[in-house]
Amino acid sequence: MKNLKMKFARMERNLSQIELAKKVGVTRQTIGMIEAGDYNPTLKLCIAICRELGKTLDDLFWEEDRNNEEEKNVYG
Amino acid sequence: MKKRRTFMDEERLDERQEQTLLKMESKAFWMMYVLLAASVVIQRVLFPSKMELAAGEGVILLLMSVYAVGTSLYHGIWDRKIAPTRRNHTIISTAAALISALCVGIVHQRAYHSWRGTLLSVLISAAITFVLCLFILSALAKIFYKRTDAMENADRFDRD
Repeated sequence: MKNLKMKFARMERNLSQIELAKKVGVTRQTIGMIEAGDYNPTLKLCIAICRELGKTLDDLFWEEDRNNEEEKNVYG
Repeated sequence: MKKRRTFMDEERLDERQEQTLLKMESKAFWMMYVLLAASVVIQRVLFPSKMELAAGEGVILLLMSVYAVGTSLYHGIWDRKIAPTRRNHTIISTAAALISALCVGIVHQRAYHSWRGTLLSVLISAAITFVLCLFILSALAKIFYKRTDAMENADRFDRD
């Protein structure tokens, strides 16, 4: 699944994929693959990305479970 | 004192590239392993009297096997899909015995053209391979369980 939250957070900061990649010490392709949902980064890289983008892990990498959302709608 | 830079000081891969490289290396290892094993078997079947032909490959295969088994056991890993149970040991030993019997059968029949002799040698080689394989697997499984127990005890302090 595409990580659009990360893409939008990067764009909010006016960072290109290359710039973000340089800041967190990976290649541009790795950032592209994370945003495209083709690569699951390690926790270490997730934290580095969050720090650079000024977001939390929940903001960028937490995906609400569909069942949980349905439960929230019913009980919340 | 300033350390002299060599041509391979820097870490040049990121974590994704490192993972991809590890997968490629793992595939290359197993391809080489299977091809080496096939080459040893083919050479032994085609030229049974010339043992020295496959000696180099045999030694490399043995070293690779010892390394793979040794490191796996050390890290408490048996296999991705096969559990170290008596039933599985028996199935693997039977498969090994059949392969061994087939190879010995072909070699014997090509050399002596005698069905009775071939049958006898096939049975003996199958029995020896089965027993040996079962014994080695059982011994390795014992070591594996000991190792996993040791690993469990080592981090018990953290869990308590």
